[in-house]
Amino acid sequence: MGFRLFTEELRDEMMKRQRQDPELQEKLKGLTFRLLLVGTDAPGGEDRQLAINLQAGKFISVGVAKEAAPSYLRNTSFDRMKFDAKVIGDHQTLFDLVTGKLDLLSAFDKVQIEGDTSKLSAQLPGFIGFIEYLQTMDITP
Amino acid sequence: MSIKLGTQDLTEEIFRRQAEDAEFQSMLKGLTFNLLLVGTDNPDGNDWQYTIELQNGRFVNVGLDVQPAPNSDLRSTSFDKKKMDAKAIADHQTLFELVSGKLDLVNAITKVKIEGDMGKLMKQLDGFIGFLGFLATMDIEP
Repeated sequence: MGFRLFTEELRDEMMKRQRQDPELQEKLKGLTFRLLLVGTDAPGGEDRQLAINLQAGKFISVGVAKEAAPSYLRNTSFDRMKFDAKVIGDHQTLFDLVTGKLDLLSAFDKVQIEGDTSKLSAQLPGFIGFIEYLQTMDITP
Repeated sequence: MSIKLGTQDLTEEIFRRQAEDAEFQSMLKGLTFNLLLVGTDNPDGNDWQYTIELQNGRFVNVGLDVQPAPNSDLRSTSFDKKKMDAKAIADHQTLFELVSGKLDLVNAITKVKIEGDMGKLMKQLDGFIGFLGFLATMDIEP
């Protein structure tokens, strides 16, 4: 059974694997980042958002929000005290990224990124490792 | 003394540091990649292209071609994919800001045209970041 992208079921699976799978712990490589990730126009006419808090390579919390598209989740403004960056992209683009159909460099041209891009740049290998791990999972749109 | 980007001086300085600085090779983390790097519209009104061949974290060859801007051959995204893995093309100023640490990689990526083997590039991003970090320690001028 696949896990739908940016949903509670995928979040719960990630939290479970984080506890059980040393490979995921290794892939996260000490990532410390607080990221809002928004996929627009997901199946069902939704915008979906993950509010990810990663500290020293561990997911501390991952919040899930869904709103009927088009929603306020697309707004580029966000609380910079709580999050380092916000990434907004078409749901299909992000799905293609996490399933390996689109590489990260090409994806950067297709998403909006707001916030501390220098912190993001410095930890890019960790993010690539995380995306590579996601590509091994059975993720559906 | 500062070194101009897009000149032979930078190539010679890289080879000199590679020979003398033990830290250099470890920063490149075994990078094995053949890259065409094109900077357009430098302050002298030229386009330039470095042909960079890296093997196991060592520069084995760096060629330089400088032509009056705009040069359609250098700016063309087509290249010999049997010889080179990728071609990156960007405004000279953007590349200067990237190699001098004024522009972070994520922002730079959105301003650079990249053609070629993205998968190979992504797998070795650690090494590229290390190389950029090394360049940022050099006194490079536009």
